[in-house]
Amino acid sequence: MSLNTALQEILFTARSGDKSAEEQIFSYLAVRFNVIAKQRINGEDARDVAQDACLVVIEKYKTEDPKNNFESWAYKILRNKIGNYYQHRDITRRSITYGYNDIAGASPASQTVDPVKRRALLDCLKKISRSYIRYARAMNLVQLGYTTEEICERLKVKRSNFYMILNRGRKLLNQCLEKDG
Amino acid sequence: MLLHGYELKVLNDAETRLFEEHLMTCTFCLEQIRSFQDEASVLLNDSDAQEIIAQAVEKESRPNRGKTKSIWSFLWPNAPVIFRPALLYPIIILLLIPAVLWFIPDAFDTESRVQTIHLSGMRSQAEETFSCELGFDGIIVFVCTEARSGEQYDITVYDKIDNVVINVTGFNCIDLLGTGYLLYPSDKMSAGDYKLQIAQMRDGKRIVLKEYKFSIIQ
Repeated sequence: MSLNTALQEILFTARSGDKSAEEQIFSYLAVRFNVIAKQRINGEDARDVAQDACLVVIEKYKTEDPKNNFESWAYKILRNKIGNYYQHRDITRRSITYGYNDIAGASPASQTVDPVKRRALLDCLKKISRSYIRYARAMNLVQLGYTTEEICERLKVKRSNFYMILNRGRKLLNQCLEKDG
Repeated sequence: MLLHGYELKVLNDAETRLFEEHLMTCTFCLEQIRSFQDEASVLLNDSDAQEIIAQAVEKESRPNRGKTKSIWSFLWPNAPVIFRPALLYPIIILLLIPAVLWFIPDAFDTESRVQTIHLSGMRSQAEETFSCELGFDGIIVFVCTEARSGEQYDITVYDKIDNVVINVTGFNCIDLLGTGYLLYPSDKMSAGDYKLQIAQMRDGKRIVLKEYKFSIIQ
């Protein structure tokens, strides 16, 4: 049974008033919303925004047309919540659109990372940046805050190639981390 | 393809929306993002990570310096002095040279092995002594004014007790001026007195045209 079919069945059950099915939907969305919100909002606010969005979905899903795509509809709600969050925080328009630059100056998330894990990652990064210099170059420009267009121009690669370089570097990093335990 | 770009927040709005919609249904990508969230934040925000990357890029932009350093670290690593390649390899080479020379004596001999015995400058009835290195082939250069280019002659080299050392019949390596060139193989050559005779068969008779007497010393 595919994920989508399973979800449709759970939704059907939940709409008929089954509380456990509703909880399943809630946890299904919470996992995804948390990941997306964390990506767009730094700090603890991400969890709140994700939870708010989940609550709205749970509140309204019964009245939503079952023919509509549930995931797309839920995702729109999350996007709106994220937009509202930035409006509330009086962030610039660009940050609302992209949600990336944390102008509010949240603490670097890396400070909360397990030091052993961080050390291992830095060691692997050192190895990878030596063996796969294109990734190092791309990462360097990302860290310096260049836009994707500027990075592609500087590296003289297409956008898709740039993403390929990043993905390959990530794969190598993962392999190195797994190897080092 | 957009996975790491999304983690590093380099996707544009359309790509981000596309990927996030995909995330809503794809458990695999979701797990990938979740498992790599800490690493992505270190890559983006950690000053040490930024320094590592910046150093790698800087080092790469100066390839010669990096190469020199790596060559030097190869030649002079942190090992006991005697095991350092910069010292060890020349020693090995120095030791190998006599060994190679011992087993292959001619390995480094680039000089010509041909030595010439010039009988052509000798006066009639004279005897001359040549100093030759034994074991090397030689060429005997002689002149016979009676001989003509294109004709065939018998060239014979005798030792002092008239044993035939070399005998070439039908010899025709004589130029227009009567100069002949006879190969003197190294295995036939030893120190001693020799006689070179140039003869030709005429009307069934062997007629000696010229004789040279010479000695070879070591």
